[in-house]
Amino acid sequence: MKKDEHITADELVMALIDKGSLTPEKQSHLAECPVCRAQSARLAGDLSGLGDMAKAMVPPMQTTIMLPEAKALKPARPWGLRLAYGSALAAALVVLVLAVPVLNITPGNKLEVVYRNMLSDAKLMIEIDRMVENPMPDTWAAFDDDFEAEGSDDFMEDIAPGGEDFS
Amino acid sequence: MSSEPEAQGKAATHPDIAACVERARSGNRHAMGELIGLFREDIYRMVYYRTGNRMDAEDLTQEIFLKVFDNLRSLKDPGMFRPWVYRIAVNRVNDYHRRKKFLSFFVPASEREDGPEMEDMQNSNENVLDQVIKKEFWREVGTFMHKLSKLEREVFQLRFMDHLGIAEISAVLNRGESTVKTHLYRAVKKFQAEKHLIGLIRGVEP
Repeated sequence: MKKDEHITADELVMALIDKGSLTPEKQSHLAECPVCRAQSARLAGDLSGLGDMAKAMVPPMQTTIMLPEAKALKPARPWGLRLAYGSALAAALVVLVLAVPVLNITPGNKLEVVYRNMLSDAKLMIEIDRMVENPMPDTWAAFDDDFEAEGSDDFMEDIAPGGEDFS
Repeated sequence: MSSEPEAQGKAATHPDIAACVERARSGNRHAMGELIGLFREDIYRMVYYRTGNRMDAEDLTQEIFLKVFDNLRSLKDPGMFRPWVYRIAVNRVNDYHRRKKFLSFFVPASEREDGPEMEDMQNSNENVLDQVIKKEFWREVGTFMHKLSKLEREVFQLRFMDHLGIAEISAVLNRGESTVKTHLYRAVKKFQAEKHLIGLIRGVEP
């Protein structure tokens, strides 16, 4: 680098962003040359001035930052514990599924009871209807079928002894 | 001249943020309060630069800290707390802008809220000259920012307004350092062309 030669504007910007981007020769020139140093300082001053001015022109904060609720601060459960909870839950579900047919606690079971009651009621109603038509039990009806009153004098003698003819 | 930012704010100068983070991770509320004390101003300013609205910036800052403490256990390296917080903040601000853009389809322009300068002017007790300077400054900054690409803008703001280093910006944006430097270079070149803004900076003592 010649004595009257200066660092270019682009190189000054690069140096501001990353000092290592300059060759050692240019770095030493920047350290010694008052012209280049002044240019570099001016650019750095403009940029830091922008930051300072922006900072000064922000309205002050008027609220207080709140800490999160204590529940959010509880330590996270370790994976082993999570696995244990998960396994216990799965086991409970399996037990519940297996217990349903044994304990007869399904909703379908309730329907079955209702159906049985309805069937029983229907049978009772059929019996009542039959008794209205024929109050004698079926065994009596069967007996009736075999009875031939007119053809059996002995039977009539048992019912009406004395042999009187009332006709 | 250094490529890394000068230490600014309480957070940048705190000796042992990592230890504080470790204590906060174990549920120590005092440590959490300490972290809030260290970062609240920086994060609030960072959000304000990107929203231009004090109330929105305050709400977002609160949300950012809630998110930080909710997810503190997922931070692998407590030493990376600062870029991690800024990363959450950048994402949250981007969400805010997406939501605002979406809502703007449904809200008539006449019903939208006033801009940042107007809000500050209404609430402030500053003298008229200060108010005019402030308004002028933010308008110039806004004009300049609109000339930058999204990544250039983010990189420039993180470096020169939020005072993060190149490595930190790289971690915040999940981009390589060379990408960060390239975009920073372009942004600074565009900044140099902003004569009015630079004149304002040189002529006004903050």
